[in-house]
This record gives sequence, C-alpha cells and structure tokens, in this order.
Amino acid sequence: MRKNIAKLLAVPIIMILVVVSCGKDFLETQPYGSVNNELLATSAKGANALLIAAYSNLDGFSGWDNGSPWGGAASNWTFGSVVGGDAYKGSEAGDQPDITPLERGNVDANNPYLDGKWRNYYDGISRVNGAIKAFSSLKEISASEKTVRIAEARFLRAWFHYDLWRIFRNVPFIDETLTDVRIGNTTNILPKIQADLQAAVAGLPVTQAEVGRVTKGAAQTVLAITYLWEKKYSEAKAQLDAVVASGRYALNAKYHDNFNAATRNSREGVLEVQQSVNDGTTDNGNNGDVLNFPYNGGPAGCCGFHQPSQDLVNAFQVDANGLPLLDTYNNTDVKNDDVPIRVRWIRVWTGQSVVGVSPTSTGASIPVPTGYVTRAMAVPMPRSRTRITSRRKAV
Amino acid sequence: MKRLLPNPRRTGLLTVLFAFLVSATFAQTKVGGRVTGGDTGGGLSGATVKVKGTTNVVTTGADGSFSITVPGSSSVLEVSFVGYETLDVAVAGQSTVNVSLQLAAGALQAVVVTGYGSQERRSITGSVAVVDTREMTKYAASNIADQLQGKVPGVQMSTSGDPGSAAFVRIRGIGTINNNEPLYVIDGMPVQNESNINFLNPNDIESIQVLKDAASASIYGSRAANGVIVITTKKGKTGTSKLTVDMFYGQQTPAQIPELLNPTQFLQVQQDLAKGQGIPFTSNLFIRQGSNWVMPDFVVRGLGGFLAGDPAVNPNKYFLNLDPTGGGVGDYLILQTNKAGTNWFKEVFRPAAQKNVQVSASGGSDKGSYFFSGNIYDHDGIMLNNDYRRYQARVNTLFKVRNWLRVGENLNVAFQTTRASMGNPNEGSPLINAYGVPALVPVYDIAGNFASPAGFGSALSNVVADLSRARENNGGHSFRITGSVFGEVDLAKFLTWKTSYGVDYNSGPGQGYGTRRYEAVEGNNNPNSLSNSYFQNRNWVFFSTLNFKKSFGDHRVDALAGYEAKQNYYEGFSAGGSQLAFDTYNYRLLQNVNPATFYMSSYRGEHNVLSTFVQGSYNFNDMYYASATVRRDGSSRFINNKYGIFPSGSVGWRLSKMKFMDNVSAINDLKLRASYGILGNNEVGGDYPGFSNFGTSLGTANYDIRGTGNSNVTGFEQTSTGNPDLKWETTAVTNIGIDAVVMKDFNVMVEWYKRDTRDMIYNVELPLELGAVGRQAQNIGSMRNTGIDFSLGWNKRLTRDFNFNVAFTGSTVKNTVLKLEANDNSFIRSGGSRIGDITYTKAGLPISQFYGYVQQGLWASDAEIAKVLKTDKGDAKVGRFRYADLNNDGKIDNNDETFLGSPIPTFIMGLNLTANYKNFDFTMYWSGTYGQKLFNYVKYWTHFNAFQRNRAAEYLTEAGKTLPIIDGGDNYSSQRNSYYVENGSFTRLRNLQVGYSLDQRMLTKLGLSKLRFYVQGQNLLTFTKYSGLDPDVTVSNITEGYASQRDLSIGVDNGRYPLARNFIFGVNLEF
Repeated sequence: MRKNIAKLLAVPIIMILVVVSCGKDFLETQPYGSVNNELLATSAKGANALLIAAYSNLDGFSGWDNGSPWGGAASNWTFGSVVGGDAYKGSEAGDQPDITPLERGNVDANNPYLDGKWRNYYDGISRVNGAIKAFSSLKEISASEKTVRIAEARFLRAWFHYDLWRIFRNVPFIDETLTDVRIGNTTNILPKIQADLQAAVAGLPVTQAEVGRVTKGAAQTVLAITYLWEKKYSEAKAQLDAVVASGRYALNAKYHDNFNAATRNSREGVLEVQQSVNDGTTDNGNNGDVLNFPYNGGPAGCCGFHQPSQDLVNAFQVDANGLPLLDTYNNTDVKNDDVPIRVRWIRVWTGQSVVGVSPTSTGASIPVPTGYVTRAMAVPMPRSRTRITSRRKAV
Repeated sequence: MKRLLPNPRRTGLLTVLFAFLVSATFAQTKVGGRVTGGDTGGGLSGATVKVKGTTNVVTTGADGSFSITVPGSSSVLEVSFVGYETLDVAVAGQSTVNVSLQLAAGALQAVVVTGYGSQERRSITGSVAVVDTREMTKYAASNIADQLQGKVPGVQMSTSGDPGSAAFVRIRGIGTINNNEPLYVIDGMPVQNESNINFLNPNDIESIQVLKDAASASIYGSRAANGVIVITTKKGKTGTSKLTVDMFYGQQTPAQIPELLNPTQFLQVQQDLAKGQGIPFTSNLFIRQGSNWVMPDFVVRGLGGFLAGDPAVNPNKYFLNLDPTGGGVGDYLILQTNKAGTNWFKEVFRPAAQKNVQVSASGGSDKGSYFFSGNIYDHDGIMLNNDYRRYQARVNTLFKVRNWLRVGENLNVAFQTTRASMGNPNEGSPLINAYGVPALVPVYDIAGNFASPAGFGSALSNVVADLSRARENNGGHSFRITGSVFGEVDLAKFLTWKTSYGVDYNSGPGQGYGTRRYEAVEGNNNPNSLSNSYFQNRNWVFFSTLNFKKSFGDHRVDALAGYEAKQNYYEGFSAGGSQLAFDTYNYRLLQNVNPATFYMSSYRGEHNVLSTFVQGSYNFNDMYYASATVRRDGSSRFINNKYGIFPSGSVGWRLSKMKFMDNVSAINDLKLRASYGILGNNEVGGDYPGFSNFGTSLGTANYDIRGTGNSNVTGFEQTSTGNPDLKWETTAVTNIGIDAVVMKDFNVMVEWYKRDTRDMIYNVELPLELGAVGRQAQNIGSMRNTGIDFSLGWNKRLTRDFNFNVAFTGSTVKNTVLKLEANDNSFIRSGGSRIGDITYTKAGLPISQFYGYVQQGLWASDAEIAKVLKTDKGDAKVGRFRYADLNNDGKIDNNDETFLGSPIPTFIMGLNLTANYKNFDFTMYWSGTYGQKLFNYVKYWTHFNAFQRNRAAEYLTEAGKTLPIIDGGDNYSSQRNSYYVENGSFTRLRNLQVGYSLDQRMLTKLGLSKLRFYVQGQNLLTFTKYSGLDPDVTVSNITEGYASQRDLSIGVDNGRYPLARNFIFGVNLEF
C-alpha cells in the first residue's frame, strides 16, 4: 500500500501545480487594437487625428447608428432645399416618409431626421472639444501650429452649433470646459458662436497647405452670415469686405466649374466639404446625396429624391428690365425655356451640364415637370464634391 | 424488517408439533440476493421484495441487497421499484436470488449527472428536469432542440427551418434584458459563447438534464442564471458490445403558400393607386389601348413595356454587357412577361430532402469501455440552394488502469458547411422579395439570363438569381473539435479526485463573391466583389474536483470541492476588394482585386474566468435531504468588481417514507422540495466593458483633408465609454416543488418558481450632447419571472403485448420589468423597422411590448374626421385607417400611441403519447404555445403600399373593408398600429411516428439483434388564428445566438424561414 500512496499522491501533486500556475494576471485583460485617450492626448499625431475625426462629421454622416446620412448631407438638401421650398422630397410616398412632415412643416419630436441631425452634430462638437483639450495640453508642437489647429477646431465647433441653431434655435452650447453636459437651453447661443468665430478669424491663415482645412476667409464669411441673421449689416459688410480684399478668392470663369469634381477646391470656394471615393470605403463619397437622381427611369429603379420644385424655377423669372419678380414670381409657372430667366439652374455630378434628355444608360435623365433635371451616377461614386454656399434666391 | 421465524427456545414442544404438522410442504427458508437496475447495473436501494400471495414484504438496503423468508421452495418473489417493471422471480429452491429490473417504458434513469458529479434522481432537491433520451432519439431530427421541444416543462424552444441554424431556447422566461442563453455543458465542459450546438450528433446523447433553479445550477455559477442544459454523451457499457446503424431520408415541403396578386389584379391595383391619389394613371410598363390598359407582351429595361411585333423588342437588339467590373454600358435587356403569373414563392421555396446516416460501435470490459460514432447529415432547406452539411465523428473511451485509477477522454470532431443561408429576417431577404416581385416578371428573359424586375417595382431583386449565385459564390466551413481528457483517482473508497482538461476549438475560412448583378433594380452597375475571412475560437476549460461520498448507517454525506479555470480566446480577419478583371471561379484571389478598393481588418479578444466551489449534501434514510453550494467566480470582464459569490441551499422531504403515509397505498412516492439561491450572469455582449476606447474608421473618422478625392487621412473617434465599476448581474431563484408517483402508474411533478434578476447590465445611451461615444454598460434595473411548471405522466401496461405512456408537460410564466432606471418613465426601444421601433420595454410591464396607434376600422366620412380630429386632422382621409385619439386633444400624434400587446406566452404545453403493440410502436407529440400576440410586420410589405411591388391578394379584396382603400399617397395607414398585432397562439402536431421492429426469430436468422423500420411526419398540423406563414415567432435576431439584448425585440414577424412539413422514412439496425 505504501508504494500505492506515492503513486496516489503523484497525480494530485501534478494537478496542484497546474492549478497554481493560473495566476492573478489571468483575469487582467486589455482590449486589442484600440487606443485610449491618454495615448492620443500626448502626441501631436494623436491630437491631429482627433481633429481630423471632427472634420469628418462635416459630411453629415458619422455612422448609421447616428441616423441616416440623407438628413445630414453637406449640401443641406433636406433641411435647406426641401424645407425651404426649392425642392420636393421626391421618390415614393413610402420611401423616407419622415421627410414629408418636414416638407409640410408639421414635424413632431419623434422624427428621426431631427434625431440624426442632433446626434451627428453633437458628436462633431464632442470630437472638437476632445481635440481642443488635446492640443491645449500638448507640448510636442510649435506654438504657431497650435494656434492654427485650435482656431480650426473652434471654427468647426462654431459651424456645428450654427447649423443646429439654424434648425432648432434653442440648443445648448457645449464647450471643452463642461463636465456635465446637461446645461439646459435657455440662453441664446449666437454670441458664443460668434466668439468662437472671432477666435477662428484671429487664428486662421488665409490659405492652408492642406486644402481641406478651413481658412480665415471661411471664418469671416460665416461670421458675416451670423451678423446678417441679427440684421447687423455694417458688421457683416466689414467681414465680407475683408474676404474680398484678401485676394484669395475670385469667381470662376465658368459657373459649371463649381460643380465639377475635376475643378474642385477652386478660387470661388470659401468653404468646401471634401468627399472621396475609392479610398477603401463607400462612406466618404457624399452618402447624403446618393439617392438624389431621376425617379424610376434610367439605371436605378428607386428613389430619386430632391426634385426641383416649381417654386424654384419660377423664382428665376425676371421682368422686362431683367430684375427679379420679388413677390409675384409664383403668379405664372415656368414650363419651358421660352420664359426669360436669370440664370440656368443646374445641379451636376459628372461635370456635364445638362438640359433635356440624354439617352445613355449611365447618367440618363428624365425631365421632371418643370423641365429641368437632376442627374446622378449610381454607387460607386466618381469624384465629386459639394459646396456649402447656399444658392437660394437672394433676399 | 419483520421476522417470521419463531423463537425456538420458547416453543420447544410446539416446534416439534409444528414441524410434524407442516412437514416438507412448509420448509421456511431464508432467501437472500441483490436487486439491480438493468440500465445501470447498480444496486437499487429501497426496492420492494414481496413473497407473492402473502403479506411478507422487505425492502432492499443501500446496495440493493435483501434477505427474506419464504415459506417454500416453490415460492415466487415479486420484486418492484418505482420506475421499473415489476418482476416475478421463482425461488426454485435457490438460496440466493439476484434480480435485475428493467426500466419501465416512459420511466427515467435512476442516476443522473448534475453538477460535477452524479446524483440519484430520487434524492434531487433542486429543480432538475430529466429527459428520457430513449424517446428523444426515436425522432429523426437534425439538432437536439427539435427533439427536446415540449418535453421539458418550463423550457420554451423554437427552431427555424433554416438548415444549420441555432435553436432558440429560454428556460423559465426571459430573465434579463441582456443575454438569456442557457449554458450548455457537454460531458462536463461548458460550451463557451455559443448557442449553436449543431456540431453534436443527437444520436450520441445518452442523457440530458435541464437545471432550472439555483440549487441545481449554482454549481455552475456564472452563466447559470439562465438555466443549464447538461448533456452526457454515450459511453460503452461493460459486457455488451454492439454496432448500430441508423439511417433516415426525409422529404420537406412548404407548409403554406401565400396568395398574392395575379397579373390582372396587379394592373387593377396600379390603376387604383393612382385613382385613390386623384391623379391620372400613367405607366410606361402597361400599354394603353383606348380607355383601357393592357399588359405588355415584352418589357425592355429602361424603356418600358411593348406589345409583340414592336420593333423595340426585336430579339436582335438584345445585348448584355458582361464586363464584370461594372459599367453595364449598352445593356438592352428584353424579357417576355409571364401573363399566367410567375409564382415566385414556389420558385424559391420548393420541396427538399434531408438525409442522415450514422454508425456507432460501443463495448466494454472490466478494463475499459469505448464508444465510436460517425455521422453524415445532409439537409437541403426548402429555400433554393440553401443547405447544411455535417460530417461528424466521436470517440469516447475510458480505461481502468488500476482499481483506483481511471483515465478517459471524449472527443467530437465536426465539419459543417452552410450555403445560401437566409440569415436574419429582413426586408431584403428572399422571402420578402418573393412576396414583392410582381407575377408578370418571369424568372429568365428571352436570352436565358435572369430577368430584371426593374420598372415593375422598387427595392426588389430576382430572388432566383440571388440564390443561384449564392450557391456557387459563397462558401466556407467550420471545423470544430470539442473534447476533454480526464483522470480519476480513488484516494480512498469514499474519496475521488478528478481532473479534466477540455478544449473547444472552432475555426473556418469563408469566401464570398458577388458577381455583377446585371438584373438588379438597384446597383446593377456595381462591379464584382470578393471577400475572404477567417475566424478561430480557442476555448479551454480546466477543472479539478475532490468528491467525498460516504454512508454512515442511515446517514449519507456527499461533498464536493473544486477549482476551475477557463479561457475563451477568439481572433479573425477579413479582407476584400472589388473590380476583378475576370469573373471566372479560379480567378478569385485577393491579389486580383483593384488595389484602390482593397480593405482589410482583423480582431482579437479574450475572456477568462477563475472559479472555486464547494458543495455538500446530506441524506437521511432517503427521507430527509439537505444540500448547499457556494461558488466564487472571477471574470476578466469586470475591472473593479471581478468576483461574485453565488450561494444556494435546498431541502427535501420524502413524505411517502413517513410512518403516517404507510396506510396511503395510492401514493407510492411523494417528495416535497424547496430551494433558494443566487446565480450570476456576466454576458454583457462584449469582453471589455470597462474600457473607453478610441478607434479609427475609414468612413466615419477619416477625412480627405488634402482634397485628393480618392484617399483619406486617419482620424480617431471614441467608440466606447467604459464603466470600470461594472459588476455581476445576479438572479435570485426560489423554487418549491412536489414529485409524486401515484397508483404506481402516474407520475406527477408540480413546482412554483420565482426568479428575480437584479443589477441587470444594460448598455445605456448617454446624453447625446456627449457625442456618439457608444453606450456605456451599467447595472440598472431588475426583472421578475414567476410561474408554475408541471408534468403528468401515465404509464400503463395493459397486456403483455400492449402498453402505452402519456406525458403532459406545461408551464406558465409571468414576466415583469420591475425597474429600468431611476426615472420610471424611461423605456428601451427595439425592433427597428421602416415604421419605427416596434417594441418598447418599460418598468411595470413585461419585456418587449408592442407599441403604436390603436386602429379602429376606417374613417367613414369627412364629417366624422372633422368631428373627432378637431384640432388638426393631419393626413387622415376617408377610407384610411382610423386611429383612436386617446388623449382627446383632437389630433393624432405620438401621444396617442400606447402598448398594444405582449409577445410573452402565458402557457406552454407539450403532449407526448407513446404506445407499443406487439412489434409496432407509435409515438405522437403535440406542442402548444398560448397567450402571446405577434406583430405581423410582413404585412407592411404585403398589405400596404410601401414601395411599388406585388402584394397579397387580400390587398385588393379587403380594400375598403378591413384594409384602407387603395391610395398611392397613403402612408398614414401603414404606421405602427394595432392592425399588425395578431393572436399568435398555436397548437402543432410536431411529430407522428409509426415503427415496426422485427421479432427475435427473424432477427436471429438475419444475425441482427434489432431491426426497426419507421415512418414519421413532422409539423403535420398547425392550429392557429395567425395569418402569417408560421406563428412560431421569437426574436428578430435569429442568427447571432450569443448576442445580448436579442430579447428586447420578440414576437415581430419580419419574414421567418417558412415552415416545412417533413415526411421521413428510417431504419435502425443493431448487430
């Protein structure tokens, strides 16, 4: 039996050794493939990356969880053109029916487009605040670069708040010093937006090496727009004069060049949101406008949002002296090109101007009731980009 | 124990007299022996041995031995034990009579595996449901859940006809808003992060126990909060070696074909849509002839419909640009319309076959035992090109190296492939497309290519095309090895040390190829694309236990102490690109994609758990029982609160053994039991909930800051917000039950339970002003489930040739969300759809309730609208759905939405009937689920005019009656409302089987020991009021079995895999 005891004990002893070898570290695990805030805030590369992420919210899309991309499009077609009357929603009744209440003006709080806009812009604001905090405490960066980057970040923060203010009016202003974001929305945030813009004007250069970055001219223009909202015409004029006087900007010889991807970031563009394709994803190629093309004819069957409205076309009518009919333009409907108009309204993606019907299967277009057309390409998108400048009729 | 021998000293003279009188015919002898169970070979303690015709009765001792005085050598002993067939044994002059009793039909084995050891079923004080696997394996089925349905009270099971898909299993209701999957333990090894156990061959299973309360399950600690299913596979038996072969062939057919619009009705509907909107009907598809519209003979994509003879449809003009990189320039596609109407549902869902072959060999001696099995299972789904194959082998061996040392292993190797799986029900699925493509569209066009539904409707695809491509283009398989190696050392007769190391290794490559879908309505110019992926899961479990078992007279003590460590490690990658220059099969390698479109990503993660546990149980004379367990688990998922302690206790009282029950002969066995304990759950849906992470994302964090137009620069966005203080979710379970055997033939089990879950882990949405920083896992809220489980069984042998068994199980469950957040008005929305989130979870109600407007018929007149909707009539119009203005404010808005019904069943039942007559056996099994409502979201696509497409025939016939009048501008009636909510109760005849076994004479001639033929029908009848294809609707997310928060959206029918009826013919052989 003695021999057997030894054998008996050998087995459990081996087992104990195996058991003990699983130490305390066994329960300490770290996630793979991601970084934390400390790492990003202590390197110039990291802080820059945080700012790039803030820029990326300009296209209105920060993930499907934050709402569909169509509401947030940089071209502002839903909240601008459709709500403002330039365009009809388009497509079928059952397709994106949430835009219909927006178009009609009887929105309720549940509308996912409002939700999406809110989420995307506050996400942008939080990214900007993260970047500002990172740059403020960063040591491995030159003072001049720090000023410029912080100015860029403040412009972006102002821009996001401005667009929210335009749509919702009473929104909270979230800056990088807040720890608890539930601050209520009773104050007018326009002065705070203007403060950010003034800091941006002071810090931004007239031109940037990387053309996607915002410039002094952009900050001055947006500041001027906020003054116009307040009817402070002389302050607005001062900013706009400075933009013209900088010599950086000029009108393009061909108006079409503003809508041609080949001539993007031209001298006429003050603020341009960059889109890109064939870069490893389909989400940077202007997702917001991807469903805007002729309806149910041509290469893609469905959708066909953002159809120009009769109101828009009528607005281009002029009287005998060539001046716009300010209040009476809707008395008669423009049905064809015979009626004198001020300028041809076009929206182009492929770089070709378009009026009428073209039978090719790529980019075929079908006239809508006004006789003017929109045209688009199916995904994958070719090179294209959009402009921020509003083309509504001037007041 | 009564003694019948008189005291010889007392009766000296009388003895001589007696002896003289009774002489040889009354020679009283003592007969001893042992009563064993034929199924286990072990002794049966407490069996009854009676001298037939007398009142002379004894009961067997702990090891089954007995000693009884018989009046004569021709006496007959009647031996009986609960659950076994009573046996009459002639003494025939022997002094030792050993008796082996056979298990009664419908009775269950005496010893069951629970926890890390085994227990006698008689002495279980927790809530353990033991499944009779002999009955279970009679059914031909592809996975275990099919066989378990309705057999275990308190367990709700649902399987999808999708081949290879995981079953949906819920034990005692829905315990948490988080992960509700039960834990599967196979041969002692917990299966990690997996609810798809299709790698197991059902025929390899020896026994299944379902542990439903804390006392039985807490030994498994974490993940036991949702119940545990313990599966033990077959091992060889000493002395018997056998070879079995089982084969079956089944034919499945769709149970129901929906009725959709035919082409004439479709044209009528198109005209009515325009009329309802008040606009003239125009179409470039249909042809106008005078004041009528007729159907076109041919359709050209992009141009419209034409009559035969039109030069536009000259076949010479047909052209399809097959450039695989997209473009489609110059396509001129002509199709001929099918005026008889293509039945797309029948094109996609058609009869399919199921085949299964398995062979197993087992045997054993006193040196060891073995069990081998191999299985090939081939299941074609009723959906076109959808199939699942499993090739599996198992080797279980056990060696008795010494008297005190045993080593063994269990190993299962399974190779599984699935093709063209339907995936989660969604609006792009083959089913919804089969509903939507108009009947005019043929499957093929005039050149034999797939016809394009473009121009006929929107958001559709040619389903036959999609599925045909899926077969050829998408492949992948998984190779899974599960098994363990163990050693058992008997340190003393009463003390055993067992160590086991188990592994679950699962890996597989996958490839997906998308050819250019030239016939697609959207995206027909998209180029081809290739994606490759690979995953690997490496899980291991190590445990070591010390088991003490000893009887001291009438006292019996069982103690267990153990230690366990386990790891779940996973990694994988995927890469792909598009625009390959050629479409041929052999060209599909990653280097051939356009480099500008190349993408790749990889992932890794792990989760580790360390545990220690102690369990003790005490049994006094099989009358009083008590047991207690404590387990401590530490999980790597939590940072500051790693450890949780899970205790439990239970008591039992065998009333039938008490003296006062001796006179109640009707009750053969009666046991009361009660238990209470706490179980844990740490399935949060992620392995690192404590960390705030930043990550880069091509589409949502990167930006083309240099303005190149075709590249982007890296940005970092916050992807998750961590909670380092997150801790275990706990469930406290109370269980009180009665087990009884009445009048020998009736088994009754009734129990009441209450499960309270606290600190439910939920990913809370932080204030949006913080940004889209992901949700943060927090311990919020609590939930309660309470109900009654019962089972009734009746086992009767009427004659030698005929016996039957009836088993009825039932359970009720009432679920209530006690609290979600501090604010009782907060709710969780889920079940997103085109009409908003359909299910809401709120404190005070059960989980996942339907939400929307209350629909009350149609608006009859403008006067009615004006009267009710005084403030703002919105989009209400005569003929549209009328919604109730619940707050009487004169308008319909989101304040008029309310809770519309609950998808939680109130009663679930199963009824199993078995009968044996001579060589025939007959089995029938019904199951029913009652009290639940379902949200028929499929109706959004078939009964309302969302998008132009085909619809149910009812859309036309019921317009103006139960459905709104046809109006193309009406997207008011299709909002989420009570019209979609239907009664979902159903009763289903799940299985009906008739078998014939050859008798002994024939078998000996053939050299077999068993040969049985059977025919079987599955899902033959369903009784329900539900109008959809299949009322067995559970969660919307069916495929991701281990995803958390699936139960926030239950009962929404988004188009499940259609139900199939199955007719099977099979053979069982045994050598």
